Amino acid sequence: MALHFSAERPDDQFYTDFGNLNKFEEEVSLCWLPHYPFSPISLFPQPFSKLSSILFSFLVSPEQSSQLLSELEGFATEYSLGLAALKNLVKSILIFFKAALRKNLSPSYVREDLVQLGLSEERAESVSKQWKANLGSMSRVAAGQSLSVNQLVDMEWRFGVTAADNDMDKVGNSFLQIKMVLNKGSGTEEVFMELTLPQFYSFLHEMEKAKACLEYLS
Amino acid sequence: MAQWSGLSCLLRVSSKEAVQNVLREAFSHRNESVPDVILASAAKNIQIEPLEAKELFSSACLLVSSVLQSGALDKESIETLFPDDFHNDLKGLLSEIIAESMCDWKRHAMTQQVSLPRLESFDWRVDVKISSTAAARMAVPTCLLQMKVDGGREDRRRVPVAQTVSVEFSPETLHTMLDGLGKIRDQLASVATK
Repeated sequence: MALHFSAERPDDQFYTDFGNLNKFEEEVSLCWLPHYPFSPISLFPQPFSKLSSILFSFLVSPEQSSQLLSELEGFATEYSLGLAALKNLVKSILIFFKAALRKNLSPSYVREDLVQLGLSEERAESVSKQWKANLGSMSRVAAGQSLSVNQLVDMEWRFGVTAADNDMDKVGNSFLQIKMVLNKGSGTEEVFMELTLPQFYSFLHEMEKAKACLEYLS
Repeated sequence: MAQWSGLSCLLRVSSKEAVQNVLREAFSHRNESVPDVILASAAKNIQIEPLEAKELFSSACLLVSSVLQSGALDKESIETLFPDDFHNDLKGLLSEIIAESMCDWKRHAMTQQVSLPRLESFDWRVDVKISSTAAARMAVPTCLLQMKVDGGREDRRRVPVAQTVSVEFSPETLHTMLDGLGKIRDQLASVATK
């Protein structure tokens, strides 16, 4: 059966990586046995669930990449795994998720693909449930990450009156000065400009029209 | 006074137009020295010596700067700026010519003030992003604004170079910006009513 997330067959490494996910222990020991009141109650964390929740929290807020790395390091130490091997595994999983997000796959398609890639039914089901729960936030993030040119980062303004200049003792003109900080991609750029009051009112009027247009379309 | 004496050679001039030309040139070069070309052509038109032309323009520039500085707009107020012993008819003629040009001169002087780059014009459009690398299908509206800004003056004789600034706004950013601009409008309204 063809995979939903990719038109081409992925590398064998992909299948190996997903197969390896099955090897994570999935045991929960919850002991409360009335007959043995002095039994220790132990609750072992579920490594697979913990890993998938780390990955989903990264997908929902991808700017926290340093947090992802530190959590993976902690995970590797806790379960005595090689960090490099874990990173490669995580890379394959993230490629899968990003492609699935791009195509806006439904949870059932995600589950089918995971099973085809070699993940056990039970784990595929739990991942697809988490996928369903986080789909809204992840889609919003994906839409927000689209290319934007010279996005406005910050704006400062001041307005005042020119009292005098070297030519005239009394001027009395009002002005508005604006500083815009733009994200140029390779850094920020500051743009300064001055407007007269009529220009300001016209600018405000046009921007309100633009806002109405944006609201109509969203 | 010696500074105004250069204007006395205008008494020999027959046409009002020649006096207007002199004052116009004096206004253009009020903050710098008058180029020799202008001096030579004025000397030829009014039939005066080059040295007299230099003194004439020196006084004319002083006159124009004083009037502009004081902000006087009508003939009577301009006449009060002349020294008492100045020739009456010439004073009247000069004041009349200056009063006619004063509005234009004031407007022109304001455009030459030091300032940040001035907004000349702006255009906007709203786009809808339907696809990108991160998401194959989406519908995200975005606003693009392009502003033409006067690049500032390095040489007052040259036309300033215009710069184009393009900005993209997401709906949230535009909303925040409009909040800020609304505050400015409210402040302006409150100042205007006082």
